[in-house]
Amino acid sequence: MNIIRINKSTKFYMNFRINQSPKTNFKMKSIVVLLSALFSCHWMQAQSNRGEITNPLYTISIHGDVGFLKMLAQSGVLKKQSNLSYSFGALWEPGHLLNIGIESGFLILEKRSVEKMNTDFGTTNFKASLTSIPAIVVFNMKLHKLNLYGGLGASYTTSSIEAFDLKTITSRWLYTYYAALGYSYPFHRFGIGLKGSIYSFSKLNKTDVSIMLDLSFDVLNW
Amino acid sequence: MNIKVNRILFGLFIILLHSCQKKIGPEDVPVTSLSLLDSATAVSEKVKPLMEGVYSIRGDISNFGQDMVLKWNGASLSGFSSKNSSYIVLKSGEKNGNLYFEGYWRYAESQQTGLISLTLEKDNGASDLMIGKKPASIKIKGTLWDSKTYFNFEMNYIRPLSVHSKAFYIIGHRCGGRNSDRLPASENSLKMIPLSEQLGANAIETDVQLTKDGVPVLFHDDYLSTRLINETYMIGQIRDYTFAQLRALCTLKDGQKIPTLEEALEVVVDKTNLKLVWLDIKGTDVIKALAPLQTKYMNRALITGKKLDILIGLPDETNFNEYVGLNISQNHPAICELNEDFVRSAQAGFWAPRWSLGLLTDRVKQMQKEGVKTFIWTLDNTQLVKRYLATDEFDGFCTNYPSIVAYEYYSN
Amino acid sequence: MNSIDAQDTIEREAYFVYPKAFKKWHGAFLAGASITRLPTEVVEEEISTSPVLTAEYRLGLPKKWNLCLKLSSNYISNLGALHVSRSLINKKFALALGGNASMWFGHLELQAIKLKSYGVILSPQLTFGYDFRKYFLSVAAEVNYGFMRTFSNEEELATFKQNQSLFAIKIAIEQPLWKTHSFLLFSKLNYAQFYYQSWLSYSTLSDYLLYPEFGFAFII
Repeated sequence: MNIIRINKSTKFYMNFRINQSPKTNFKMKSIVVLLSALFSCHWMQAQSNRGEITNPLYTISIHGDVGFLKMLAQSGVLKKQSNLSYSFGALWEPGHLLNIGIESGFLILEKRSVEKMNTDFGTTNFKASLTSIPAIVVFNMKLHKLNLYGGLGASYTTSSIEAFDLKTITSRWLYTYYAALGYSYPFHRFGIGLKGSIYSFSKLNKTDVSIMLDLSFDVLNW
Repeated sequence: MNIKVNRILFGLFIILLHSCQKKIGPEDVPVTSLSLLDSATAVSEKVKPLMEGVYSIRGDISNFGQDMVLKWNGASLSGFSSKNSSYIVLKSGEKNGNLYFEGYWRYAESQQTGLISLTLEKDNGASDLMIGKKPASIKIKGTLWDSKTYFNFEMNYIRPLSVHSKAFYIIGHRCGGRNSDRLPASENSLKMIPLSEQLGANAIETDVQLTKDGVPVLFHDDYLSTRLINETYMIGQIRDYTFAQLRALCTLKDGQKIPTLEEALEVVVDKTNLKLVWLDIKGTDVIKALAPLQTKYMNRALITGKKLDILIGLPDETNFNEYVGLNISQNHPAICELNEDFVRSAQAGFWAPRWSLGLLTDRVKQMQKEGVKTFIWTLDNTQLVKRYLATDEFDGFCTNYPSIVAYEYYSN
Repeated sequence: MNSIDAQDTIEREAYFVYPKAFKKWHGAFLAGASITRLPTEVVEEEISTSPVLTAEYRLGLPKKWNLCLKLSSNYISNLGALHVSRSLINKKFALALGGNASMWFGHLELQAIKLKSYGVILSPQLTFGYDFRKYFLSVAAEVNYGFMRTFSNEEELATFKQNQSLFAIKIAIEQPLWKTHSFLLFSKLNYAQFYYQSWLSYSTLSDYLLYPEFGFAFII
């Protein structure tokens, strides 16, 4: 009984022409590199003396992540395009389950590019990007070898639109909700692993998911 | 068990975050594939005023309550009921001496909707109506469907619509309702304007902002966001973008383009019988840009034989100062949301206090003595609508649910 | 990287939400904050995030009964609640059945708003939890029934009934943080037609929407 509507916005999206193949190759290579790094690290860990470092009472660790970020469409389906993004942070590990820290990074939420797009105002080249720099207070718990993260904060989000020979850049602070699940192999004072994260941005009603290679280092133990 | 706990925890976190993505927006209304109206002719104009009134409801379904207000808007017949804030919107036609009606029903405050098909047969009053005679009784029979079953439905004429001593404005907020009200058109859009009449409004309120290159457009929020547009990469304010950028690069939730004020006023004048348009100003320097359009379309309405008031909204002191500074009150009527002193200073003929200030009985009476009409905004809840209507003081309500106000106003 | 083994045992009764009964007349005090995301369908572009400060006191009563008093506020919305429950299972797996009687009061006076509202919420609640030794994991489920009255300039405008206005599941993890003090981290999924912190929107939507809440607190 319902009308199935193909609205103008759908048509508009359908007009985009994005050449995916070089990026797909790049992604495949990156995944191979990530998996190789994880495997090597796992092997190195097996060769090393486990337990050399005893559990300290307090630790401050830093970590850096690099990986791919995808936006979830409102239907909950992952959008095709993914972008290389980075995050980093620090955690205070007071010797119990709960660790507290901060998380930031540079997230490319969305990128679009259309050449010679036809519009009511003539043909134009169109470029758009949406990036975000989060500042999040993160709670972390290590539960049975898995690292669970949950956090709240704000993100400085910037939109850039280029069309009709005019570039428009606008920025807003947005509340940001963060959750992640990670797995990390300890190796001396280092750790290497994978982290899956979800960022949710207020006002925009956007959710982004990322898979990132996670490198961590215990800066201070006491 | 521990691993399971982790999985459950993580799953719940994901649900927690992604749950925020559940969005309510414009929704299509059901349409029937087979129509009795295909070969029908338009219903005669003389039928319409005789048929309007309050009808009792009988049938298998009690979800519409006891009675329904039926009111014509052009070729469309609308019905408003009390229970579940339900309403019907019907297309009409005349065939073989019978009157046929087809359309949809909705509960205003939820997503429930379905099809409805009604017939007013010759012997049940159609014959008399078509010769311009008020029949002894009017009985409209038919069927309505929800998503699973269909129900018999019957309406019997009880009494005419209530007549009130003064004109009353039922003002559709954001041209008739918000995106969250799941109407079949986006808020502040061109399609919403004629729809507002079908929903019971006889006036609309809309929001006007200026683009970077000074074009007045309809848009409510301070920032572009996926609440109102489909595109995710535009997060600035309307004034950050040129008109060409807005029109070419983004669409409203139902796929329409962001309309200009001029396009909207054209629709009001050419395609509706709306009596009043309240232009709610967002930002500075808007009044100067829209004042010529206000004059143009009020005059155009007069030429076509309609009396249309277009009011410049003054929501804050900045807009008030701009309006007073331009010294245009003589020819450019305004509606002021600030207190009575501002209304007097601006020489605005209309005052618009928010409902959350209370019933304001004495203050409203005083303004009426001074010749100022008072509209209250934004009144949505049925109980509040009843409470404010009972005072019999206000000249109009701005609402996201014109159907609720229409039922309460015309049935009592 | 994490050193969860640094402390093998934790102080018993270092919990607050975990439903195991306290010893008779033993009490614990909790102070914290939570933040709730209000759906944009209800609040639109207005404040869509509602932070609240909370203080609670739990007291162990005879025969495994528990009493809890709660006060929370963000100035606009203020809530006082009395929670009574009985711990039915008191092992590693613990279970308690009880109920909340809450009264909230909201007020705001601005140029265009002069509103006061108050409401009563009654909510049966079931809580179960598991003692993992190093932390307590608890899950609480509740349903809300209530009403709300609203006033402007001391004149009553309307009374709204709110039957089964909210279903909620709260997941809480409690663990020691510093000396004998514990830390509570919780997330709560409120699936609601009406949520008291969004009273000012006077939403007419009859849909149940999700109001996710995230909070933390210190158990002192």
